[in-house]
Amino acid sequence: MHWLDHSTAFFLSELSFYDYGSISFWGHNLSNSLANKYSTNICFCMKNRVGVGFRRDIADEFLHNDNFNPDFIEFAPENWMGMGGYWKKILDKAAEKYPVTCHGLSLSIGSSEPLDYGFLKELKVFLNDCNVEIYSEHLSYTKSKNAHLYDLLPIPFREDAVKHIIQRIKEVQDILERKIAIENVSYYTPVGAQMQESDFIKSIVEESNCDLLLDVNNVYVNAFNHKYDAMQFIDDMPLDKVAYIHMAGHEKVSDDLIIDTHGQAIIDPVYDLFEYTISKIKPIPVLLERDFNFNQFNSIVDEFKQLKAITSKHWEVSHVS
Amino acid sequence: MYLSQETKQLQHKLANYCRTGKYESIEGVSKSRVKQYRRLVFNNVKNTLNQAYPITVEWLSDDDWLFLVNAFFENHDAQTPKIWEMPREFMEYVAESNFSEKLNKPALNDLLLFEWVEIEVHTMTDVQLEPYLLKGDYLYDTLVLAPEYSLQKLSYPVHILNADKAVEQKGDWFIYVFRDVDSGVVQFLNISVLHTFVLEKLYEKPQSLAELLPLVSSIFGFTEESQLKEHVKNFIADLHVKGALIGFRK
Ligand SMILES: [Fe+2]
Repeated sequence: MHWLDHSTAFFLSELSFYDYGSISFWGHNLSNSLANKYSTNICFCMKNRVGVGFRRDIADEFLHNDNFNPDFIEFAPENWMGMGGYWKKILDKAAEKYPVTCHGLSLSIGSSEPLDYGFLKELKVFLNDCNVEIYSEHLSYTKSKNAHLYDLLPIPFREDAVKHIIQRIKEVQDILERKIAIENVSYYTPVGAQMQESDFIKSIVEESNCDLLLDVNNVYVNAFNHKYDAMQFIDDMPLDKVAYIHMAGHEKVSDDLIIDTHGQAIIDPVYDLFEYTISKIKPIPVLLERDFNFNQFNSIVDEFKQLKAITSKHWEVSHVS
Repeated sequence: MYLSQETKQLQHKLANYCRTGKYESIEGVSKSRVKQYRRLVFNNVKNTLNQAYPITVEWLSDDDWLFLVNAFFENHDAQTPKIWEMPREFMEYVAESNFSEKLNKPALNDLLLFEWVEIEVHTMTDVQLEPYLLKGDYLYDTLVLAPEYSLQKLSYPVHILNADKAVEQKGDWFIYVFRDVDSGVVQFLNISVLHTFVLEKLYEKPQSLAELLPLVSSIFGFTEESQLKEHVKNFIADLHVKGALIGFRK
């Protein structure tokens, strides 16, 4: 009967390059986000909160490893919305144990076609049902000519795209009745760029009244690949709008190219850039993203602890209330 | 719409390259670097399909599989925002495009369906049930079946045999696929047309076997009702053992 032996659990264990999948529920009652229209939904109370991406491959570690205590978990709503059965039970357990943030994949904020209103409607119910405090998305597009590509493509850095995206972020925020956080993405080639990436991001974030999810590894990767100064880039960001930080590993595939894999350990220069960044901003949640190579789970725990140590050093000393 | 035609075109061109692998010059794009996008995007789609259809991947030649994945990604506009649902669109696309004939693989559509249905039942939204009793009478109590299920008709028994061998046994094959309410594990049962009819009716309107048997008898033209009763009762008892019958209502 081996024809029946293949397991769905395996299929759903690793859905994609960016772990196209994850989401969850706060186990305890938090303020209703609907009541906070246009105010930030972030209400992480502790000053020093470090979360870890919740992935199916390591779900057990989140549920049963006593040496691993992230402050919150993050996953992609698309990978859990409308799903029942085994994984719903696992998700419910994780959400009972941890506060949750969501990092979307398919909104495609940069696309030319209209937003997917059916998807947004389902997403809104999901985020509210689950009391998700931060919903973030990528400053990229994943859909073109009405077809999903399921990966993050770079938007041309242009004034018309800025205006287009500002209007779309506003529309999304109106529909979801919550502020969203937009993430700077890694990219391997610019496309018809007419402005600096930093100006592109800054204009969008400032004018759409959204938050910025600053992915420090993405800044490092882009600075390396496109030969700019990472610290200067951080300085150019609207740092008062940064509501959430991502940290991750990457892979250097040639002398002049790094791919943002989320599959390796964070390297020291990225930690350095992280320290530089957090020394300039108020305490906000920090997330360790890892989508592949889970076999050395202890090293992921170590990375989490390292991030925790760095944030404690900066934020618990300089922001004692 | 603030986006200019020119910017739209840039975005479409990059997306098109990712879907087809055929590069047409795009303004301000590094030709060597842009290859990373085709590689990443295509691998993501291919890996997702590989994980959804492991038996099909093993059965087809690498060339045939790659041909299907390429054809799908290039020609089909994927609609679901959830990548884990995308393999269903692949299955539908392959069937609509008649690739089973083109590749001379008659069992292809059935095999894809068989593999997809497992994912579908495994992930389908939980159905909330009214309270029920764990013990009862197979004949006179209303039967409560596992609520997450699918009944499928196949032309080839790909659920029992290798897809090449299954082709030799073309016919009407029925499978009952259900999700165990406790473990979430999906089970397949090879059933007859009569069993399929019984299950369809029980899912349509929960009832007892005693209520349902006269209809079964008239449809299938049984003269010996006691024989039918015994047969269906045994089937239901078997479903109970296997976890498909989960309880009873008085
Ligand atoms: Fe990120």
